[in-house]
Amino acid sequence: MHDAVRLEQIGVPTAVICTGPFAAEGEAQAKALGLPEIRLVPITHPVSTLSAEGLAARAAEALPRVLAAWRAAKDE
Amino acid sequence: MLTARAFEVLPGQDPVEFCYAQGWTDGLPVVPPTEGRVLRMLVGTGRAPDETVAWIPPRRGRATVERIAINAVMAGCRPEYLAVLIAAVEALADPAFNLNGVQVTTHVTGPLLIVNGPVTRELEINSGPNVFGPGWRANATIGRAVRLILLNIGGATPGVLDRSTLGHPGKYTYCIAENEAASPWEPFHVSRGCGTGESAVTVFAAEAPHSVTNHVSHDARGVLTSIADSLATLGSNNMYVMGEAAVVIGPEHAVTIERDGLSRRDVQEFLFQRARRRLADLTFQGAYGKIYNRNWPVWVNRDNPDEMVPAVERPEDFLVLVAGGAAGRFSAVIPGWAHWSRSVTRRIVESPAPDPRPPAPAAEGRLYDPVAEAEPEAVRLAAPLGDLRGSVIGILDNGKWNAGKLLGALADGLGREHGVADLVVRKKNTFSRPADEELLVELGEACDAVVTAIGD
Repeated sequence: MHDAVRLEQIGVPTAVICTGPFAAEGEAQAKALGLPEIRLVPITHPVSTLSAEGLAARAAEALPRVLAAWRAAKDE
Repeated sequence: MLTARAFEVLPGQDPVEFCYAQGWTDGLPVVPPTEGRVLRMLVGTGRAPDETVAWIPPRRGRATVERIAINAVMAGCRPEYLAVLIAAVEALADPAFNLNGVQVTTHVTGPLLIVNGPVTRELEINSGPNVFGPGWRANATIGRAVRLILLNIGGATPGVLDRSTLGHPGKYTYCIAENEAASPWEPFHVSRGCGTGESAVTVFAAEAPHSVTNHVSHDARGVLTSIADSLATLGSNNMYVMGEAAVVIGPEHAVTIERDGLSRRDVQEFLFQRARRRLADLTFQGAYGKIYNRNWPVWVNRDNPDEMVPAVERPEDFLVLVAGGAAGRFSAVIPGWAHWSRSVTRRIVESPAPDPRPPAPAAEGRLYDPVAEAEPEAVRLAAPLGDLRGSVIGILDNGKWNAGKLLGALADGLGREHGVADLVVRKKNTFSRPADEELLVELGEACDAVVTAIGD
């Protein structure tokens, strides 16, 4: 979260992929760092035990959400 | 007067239940933080109540002296304990300890406080029988005050930001003194650079103690062999991600080791050589490839199935101390939290005299807030990404397992379907700390947008 907050400060929209159970924690951490609107992209948990096919599926799940996150403006 | 927010407890309302309802407790009842009790606690330090001692992650709440005192009251501390508690909070906030990581990890870890020096006698901090167990107010309440601070000021609510899969009982309280009298060596804090007459507290991100039984050996080698084997198990976190490990030698075992004339350094060297596990066992005969091997020292030969992998990277990562009662041939090993946290020793500078006044009157009407909210500087969200076609996209791999592969698959999709012109791919050194500033600036200057993974 620290990295994404810093990158947004520098001026680069940054999408943060996390797995579902960690979304609440990510939001809380980002809020504590001053960026409640962090561009969080939750995907299905887990990721660490997946095979190549599983990872390709997760990437496909993430891609449209990453694009939407990059395009989100502050007022939305 | 106190600056913390005050809550009025209504007539007929139970102050103890009020504290529970506010979410201020660890599950056990707390002492209601009335003005009288908090003012009395503040006598335990000469530092100003509004002084900021530290910012406690993950919420980064401000730990002022006053707020620390409120939590100390709730834990049941005496005012004389406050100086130890403040030193412990400072040690926990040292960047080397990586308190943020320790607070939110899924691993089974919580800070262990090891207190040394004259203060342990003055405050009766137990170093003897049942040292990790109950019975001594100083141990019980100083350790508990730390936990309440991590909860109320740091925001590490179990199950929310404290993601420990299993937790352990040391997360109620975990504070001991070293049994310096039973140790054949210089006190632990002296081995860390303090003077013999000084008092100090060491914080160490620790699992629960694992008992080591050896009733049979009459020599140091036998006792240390049992200890070494207990450190090098297949389930040991140390074997996969290194870090420190505490070796708490019971006094009977200490007598045996002393008789053979081993120094603390000798013990560390012996354990470094003997607390090892065969590489083929650790990798489950190669079933999962070269897992975690980036954490092992560079000299470990990953291509040799018979290579003996050490439990720590260097002998001095064994924190060797003596504690416990005089009867019983037991010691304990306590694995740490990988190489992502280092133990920190902090001198205890204040030594206030006990307050001779009687206890504060128990007027319970108004209670003071132990909680600190975050005080972040607002960060403005960057402008949204415009055209994806022809853009430069940054890929930041945080180093967690499969993050790189996931991002690789994502990047393929971006290039193939969306006409992204170029990718800047970078990887962090360690996922448990923020990336280097230079890396972030490089990405910021080169890229139109960045995607990072993975928070799990």
